[in-house]
Amino acid sequence: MTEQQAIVFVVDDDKSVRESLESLIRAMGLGVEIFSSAQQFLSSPRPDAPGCLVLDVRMPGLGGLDLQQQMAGAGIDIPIVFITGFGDIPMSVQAMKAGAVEFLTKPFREADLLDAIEQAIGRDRAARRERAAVTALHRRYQTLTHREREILELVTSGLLNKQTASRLGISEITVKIHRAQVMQKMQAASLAELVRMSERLRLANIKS
Amino acid sequence: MAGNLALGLLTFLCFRFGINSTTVALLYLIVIVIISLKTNFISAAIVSIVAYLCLDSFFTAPLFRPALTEPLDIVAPFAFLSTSFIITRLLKNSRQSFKEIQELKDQLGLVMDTIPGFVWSALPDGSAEFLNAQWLEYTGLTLKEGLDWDNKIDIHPEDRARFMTEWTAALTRGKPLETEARLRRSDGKYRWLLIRAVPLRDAAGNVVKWYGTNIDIEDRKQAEEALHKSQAELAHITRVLTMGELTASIAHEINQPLAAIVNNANACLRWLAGDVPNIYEAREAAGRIVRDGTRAGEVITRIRAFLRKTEEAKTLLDINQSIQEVANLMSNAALRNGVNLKLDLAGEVPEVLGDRVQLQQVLLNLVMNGIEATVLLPRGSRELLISSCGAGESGQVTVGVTDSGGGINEQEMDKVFDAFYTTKPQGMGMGLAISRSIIENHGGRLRAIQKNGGTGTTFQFTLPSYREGNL
Repeated sequence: MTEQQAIVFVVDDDKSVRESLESLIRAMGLGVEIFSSAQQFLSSPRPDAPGCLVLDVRMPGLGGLDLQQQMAGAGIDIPIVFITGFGDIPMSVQAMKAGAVEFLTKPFREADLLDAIEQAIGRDRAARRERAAVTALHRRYQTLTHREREILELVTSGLLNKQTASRLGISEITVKIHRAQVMQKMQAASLAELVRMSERLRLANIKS
Repeated sequence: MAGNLALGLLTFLCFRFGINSTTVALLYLIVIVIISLKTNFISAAIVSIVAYLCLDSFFTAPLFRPALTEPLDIVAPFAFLSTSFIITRLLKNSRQSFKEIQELKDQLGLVMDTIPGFVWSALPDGSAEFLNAQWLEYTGLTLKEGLDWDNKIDIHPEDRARFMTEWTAALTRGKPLETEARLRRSDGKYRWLLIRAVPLRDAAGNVVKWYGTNIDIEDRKQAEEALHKSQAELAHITRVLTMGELTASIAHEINQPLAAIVNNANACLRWLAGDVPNIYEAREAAGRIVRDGTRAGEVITRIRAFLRKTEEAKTLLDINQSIQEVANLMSNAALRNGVNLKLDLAGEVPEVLGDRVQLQQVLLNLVMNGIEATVLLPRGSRELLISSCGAGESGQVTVGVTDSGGGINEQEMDKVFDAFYTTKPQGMGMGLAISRSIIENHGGRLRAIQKNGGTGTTFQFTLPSYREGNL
């Protein structure tokens, strides 16, 4: 599967910086979209592609750190690379603790910017893959009947077929049949894989 | 009554020896005067009447019988009575006056001792004449001790010489004195007093007495010092904070275009490094570099204009006046550090066109440095001299601040005016750099001179005098 083209979103209130970053990132071979304010970024439609955000800290109106908080609150998961003309240590600590990928001070070395962007995009690609996988699993899980879900729960918790049967008040044969169905619907090749799938779904808080 | 007895005796003697009536009348008059001086009018009147009767009976015809036959018979009683009346009256007034005077004296004494202040008087030669009760209580001396004030009143050794000079000058010239000095209170502590004295002159204009008041201003002095100190600190902190803020702003303002320039240059390199160099994009990037570089230059210009905007206001100044103002401002600091601050200002100094606040800042900086330079010397040899002179034809005004401190060695002489160079742990090192910049802005020069063979440094600056068409 060819990788989707990544997009770098740039938010900085300074026109010169914006334009220079646009040219530089394009020259790096990446897609780029520029915004002059955090508000503009939030209210613009975003393409569904891997990406990252290069974000200035001190801006009038909604600042960089505020945007970081708002995105977290809204469940927008784009990795952030901060850039700033100030180099404030407490500020950088706060940004990193809130999950930023990097904190660069202007003027920054091109290599540092590229590394940070690549790291951020890598992080985003991984996250998207994870999300896609979970979605697929979820779709499969949706096709399970109520009884099949019960069987899945008990079987992946380590119970033998016999124990499952007695727990549910059905025969062992029935359990085996349901189990096979579950394996097929979930497309799990082994019990171990089924367990992993079940964990992932649980972690993604989907299972009912 | 003794008077009547005396009268009787006198009458007997005169009769015995046949003294004539006129003489007797006069003798009687003497007695009446004496009686009048000693008793009241009634007694004197009685004696007068008795005297008349005696006179008329024994010394004028007809003998042994009072009768009005001669002029003496009429004049005598009149004379006796009026004499006694006049004398007793005079005496009464006199006594009344004395009483009033005494009352006034008492009242004055009470007022002098009750006034919440130290009141004293001295003779024209400067010796003490009177000290009020408050003063005695304050110093803990008895009146006798207090009057021996040359020996007994304890002026702080650092103030003694100055005070004695001023007191002597006042005494000699007869001009009022107002000065401050530290005196030792009864509890042993030295406290600042404001000492004032005015001369009292007679009709001929000679000084007959000195009256003075002293006020304890220790608390005021401490408050003043605290105020000065906090004002200085505030100014310093404001400057530092502003500098800090300024620095942050400057950093940000300049980092933006710098970052853009670096990004554009890197982009330009990348565009050119591709398999097919993208000339268009590269050119665009280079164009932006030029633009952003220019913008950075404008930022610097804006900042300098901002810094200058808060300062410039040139007027015609008398530099001696500015020096005097700075000396007044610094007198406390000098006193506190035991530094003897002296001025040697030329009589006639041409006017200078300059910013009053900026030049004061330079003077303050140099004086402060001078005080700090002497801090390691023993008290008593800490000297700071501010001098001024106007060099005639060259049209320059020269001001020097000389300290008796340890001096500056050869290597440091060059660096002393550099920004951020300081030998003080708390110093920012901007003082001399800024001072030099200010002086140069005024068209002058600031330099440091070492005394030949001695210790101590002179910081000297020149300023061009203002002349028509000299701008």
